[in-house]
Amino acid sequence: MKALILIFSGAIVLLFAGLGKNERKLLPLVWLTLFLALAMNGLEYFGWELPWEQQWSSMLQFNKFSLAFNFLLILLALLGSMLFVPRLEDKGADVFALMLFSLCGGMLMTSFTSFFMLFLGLEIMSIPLYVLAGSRKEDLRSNEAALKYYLMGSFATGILLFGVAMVYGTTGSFDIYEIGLRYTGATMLTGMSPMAKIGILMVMFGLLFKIAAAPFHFWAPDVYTGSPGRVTAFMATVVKTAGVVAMFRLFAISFGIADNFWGPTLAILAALTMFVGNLSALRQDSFKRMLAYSSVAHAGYLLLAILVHNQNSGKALLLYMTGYGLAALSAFALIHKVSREQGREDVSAFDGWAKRYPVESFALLISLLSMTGIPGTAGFAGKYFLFSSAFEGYTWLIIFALVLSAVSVAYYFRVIIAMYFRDSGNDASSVEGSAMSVRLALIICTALNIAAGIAPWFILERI
Amino acid sequence: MNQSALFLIILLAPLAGFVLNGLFGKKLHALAGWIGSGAVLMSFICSLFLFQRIAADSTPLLFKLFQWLNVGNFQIDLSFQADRLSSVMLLVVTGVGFLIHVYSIAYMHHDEGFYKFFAYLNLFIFSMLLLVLGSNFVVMFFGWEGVGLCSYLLIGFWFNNEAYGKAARKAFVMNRIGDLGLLIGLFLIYFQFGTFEYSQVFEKVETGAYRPEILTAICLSLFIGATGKSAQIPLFTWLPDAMAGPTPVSALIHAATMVTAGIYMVVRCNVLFNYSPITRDVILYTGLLTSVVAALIGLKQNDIKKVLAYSTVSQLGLMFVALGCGAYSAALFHVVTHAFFKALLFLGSGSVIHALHGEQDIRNMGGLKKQLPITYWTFLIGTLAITGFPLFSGFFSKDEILLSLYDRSHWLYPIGLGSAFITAFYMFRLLFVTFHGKFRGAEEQQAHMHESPALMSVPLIILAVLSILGGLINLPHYTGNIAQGLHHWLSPVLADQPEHHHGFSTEMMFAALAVAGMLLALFLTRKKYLSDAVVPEADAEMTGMGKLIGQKFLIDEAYDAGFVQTTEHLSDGLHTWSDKKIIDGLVQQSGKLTGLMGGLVSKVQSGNIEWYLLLMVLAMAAILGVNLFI
Repeated sequence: MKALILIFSGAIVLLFAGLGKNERKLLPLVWLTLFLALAMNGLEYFGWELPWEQQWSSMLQFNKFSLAFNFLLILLALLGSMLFVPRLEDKGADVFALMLFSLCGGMLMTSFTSFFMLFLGLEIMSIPLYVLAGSRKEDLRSNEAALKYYLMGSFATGILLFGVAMVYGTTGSFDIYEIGLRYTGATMLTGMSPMAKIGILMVMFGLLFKIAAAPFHFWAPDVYTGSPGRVTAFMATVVKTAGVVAMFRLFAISFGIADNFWGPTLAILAALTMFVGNLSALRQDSFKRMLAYSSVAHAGYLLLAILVHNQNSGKALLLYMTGYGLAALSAFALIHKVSREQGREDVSAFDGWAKRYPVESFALLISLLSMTGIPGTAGFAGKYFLFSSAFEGYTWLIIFALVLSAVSVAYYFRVIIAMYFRDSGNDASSVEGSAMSVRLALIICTALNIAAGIAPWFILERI
Repeated sequence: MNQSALFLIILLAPLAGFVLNGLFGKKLHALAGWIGSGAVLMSFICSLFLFQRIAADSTPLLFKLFQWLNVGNFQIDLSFQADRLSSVMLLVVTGVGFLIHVYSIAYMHHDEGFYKFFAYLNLFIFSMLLLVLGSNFVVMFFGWEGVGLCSYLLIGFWFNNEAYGKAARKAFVMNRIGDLGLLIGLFLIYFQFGTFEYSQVFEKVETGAYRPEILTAICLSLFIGATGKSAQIPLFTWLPDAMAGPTPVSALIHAATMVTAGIYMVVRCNVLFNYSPITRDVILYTGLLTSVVAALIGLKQNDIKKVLAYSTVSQLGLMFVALGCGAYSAALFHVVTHAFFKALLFLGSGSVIHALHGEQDIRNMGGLKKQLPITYWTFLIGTLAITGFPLFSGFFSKDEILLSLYDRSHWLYPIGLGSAFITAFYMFRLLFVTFHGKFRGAEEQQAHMHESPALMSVPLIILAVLSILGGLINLPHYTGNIAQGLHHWLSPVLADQPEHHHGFSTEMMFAALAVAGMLLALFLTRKKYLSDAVVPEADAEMTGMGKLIGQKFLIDEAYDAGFVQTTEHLSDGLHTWSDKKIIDGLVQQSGKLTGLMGGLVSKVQSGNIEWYLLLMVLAMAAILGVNLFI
């Protein structure tokens, strides 16, 4: 709660402090806000509570689960703000302020106990994003991305709201625990009414849209490719995490009892998502678009956690999101770097990178290995625990997921091969060092990724 | 300082050195060497503190960093243990390691990869510490693989030379074969005992909770691992080739520390080996054979480092003889003294090579005594120590081994004695040909010849002192109540130890026999190489038995014809038949199929928003329909 308030106030201060100023000058303020929020969140995790905080207990719940995920969200936002240095001509504080507002929305989505808060969080998170996607005003693709995201996003919101109404209609409550209890009674006695079924499925559709799972993923490749780099990174990490966690909370607490109803549907959609994501990524030449599809594929793996929705899969989810978030952040940051330098984002832009940028290349290497799920990285640990938690109930799905992970080697390694085994036409003189903050953030991402891969228990035991 | 901090500093200091030098070494220039050495010194100092604690109380100190893996019943901890055995190894690794680091600062001074060299050396020390400090087989295995990797990197350090790269690969492959044995051993241990922790495994063996044939299989597999790392027959041929690496590497890794890992492992598992007499016999005969064969080959080598390399193989053979006789403390005693004098000899040879700008052939040396006095005197001390000159460290440790060999079998004793005699022969040959007589190299070399700088000579002097005094740690029985220090020190970790009961005169007689052999070798070589000034013949001029020995008994050639060629033919055949036709076909077809599907899937992504919305609505309708009506 304290972190949430801090970030919110920070965003408002930024709006006023930064009128017309160059974005770069505001960066330290953003970092400070996020860093303090991170610290507060940490203290809260270890038990620091103020007396007035009890009052929100019927709407929000800050327990170890939500605080651990909030910590991850703030960390990802902080590293993201370090990895993307604004260009000189970028003016105005609105971009940062909007990102912080969006982060606040994300934090509500990890800690809601009422449908009100879920919806509020979702919208607080999404509306700034529609603007952010179009924040590069002179870029046509950015404009297109914003419009597409907005149109389809509002469509999805409508579906979700429709679902919420149906759920309220069958249970008479917005409280997620209360709904869980009502469903227990209802399913025990009579089986589920069509209205309850439609409600659950509609809510599912709305949330699947937010995490870009098939067949509601169509927006993702286009929007990810068109949006400015930092917004894409933010969407792929913070927004995705918040979406998955919200879905996990809701489906574990409210709809958990009815999982033999929605389980098969979600399992098939998960398989579809992995299939579409991985196979489309195979065909891309643009690295950014490839990562967009890979992000869809990862959403498919993440749905496994929701299918199982128990303590272990929640832990695995935290680990997986940590690994994926850290890896995706550095990967998107380096795409940003390469596109700024060479004006293109395709895989061949990375030819011979390892010689020119050893540190950056190593960071990208670890990220890609982690996304592939090579042992020693957080990505492997995450996949391992996620898959093993779901193995008993959904053996076929896990085998399918493993096959598709093997396919993913093909596209992730294309970049590694380009970096380490190809020669670039350019000579070494065109090396343009990264800024200090970028380098530091890359090192942190890489180190955390490896550390979490070697000692995953430090993360798993946080919930 | 508390115990965990000591453990952490010992382990992390070299790791930090590796990271620092690896990341920023290029910018640190000469500082890289000092950072590398400082890191090891820090480990050494903390090892001394740890040693002091263990001296006061013999119960092992345990340190659990964290639980590493926990899957069902399968648990592996990243935990460490310091007891009487590992503390001795700790001091040797960090102490000798530190001296060699300092030496390398001067030796590698001009090398381009200066910082890389120290990064690798630090990584090596770290891996070696993992190996000796681990409290279970898995941590040991990680260290074991780590030192193998570093050895590979350092043998091929000058990778621009193709032959060096090949030598590195050979070492790596040979070690891999051994490692496979070790790995099988580890799996069997887990299969039989259900745990990897030393203490639990040993406890179960002592209570008899095992099947004897499996225990023998375990011991044999572990020993195969040891033959790889410690260069014993049949896996010894990599060590002489490993001399391609920089000389400090030969001293540290291929003489003083890594190659003794096999001996450490057997001593650590002495409980297991005690219950498998067959394996102990295998060890004994393998060690004895290696010791004699390698010593014979050493007789005809003309490369200063190769002579020392074969001598190392031969000495390691002797240590295995001791292990085979169950005289674990004697083996460890020889590990320690050997670390002193062999490191000294290698560093001395490095000093010679340094002075002669890369010359390694002893036929082009001679008379170096005058120009390189410090190198000469320290090399002389090293030679006297290894040949077993009375009161030098080698004298005590070798006698200890020969004595236990005599206890084991009166018939094998002469063979061991013979090996020691040959050792004395080739070592004095090396000494005389290199340092005495007239200089046989180019004029130019003589003009530029110079004694090595202080950074190199001081470690030489310290090691020389240690080579003289090293015997004090385990004096023979006849010295009374100060005798057998190391033996008593190790008694808490050694299960049961044969005590030899010989009278004063018997022990004296054995010592006299060994000394007599040594002196005989001294006089023979002195006459041949000093008085008659014979220069060893080139490989091409050798005849008869000498030729066979000079060609290293054709063992390399036999391996090449037997294994390498056969494998190549087999793999060629498989490549053309199964790989190209079956596997490639399958892979290509499945690749095509995946690509095709990928194409279909991405066709859907047209960029048209109405199309997307339509698809989404259709999908929702389909899902709802299926769920509601079916």
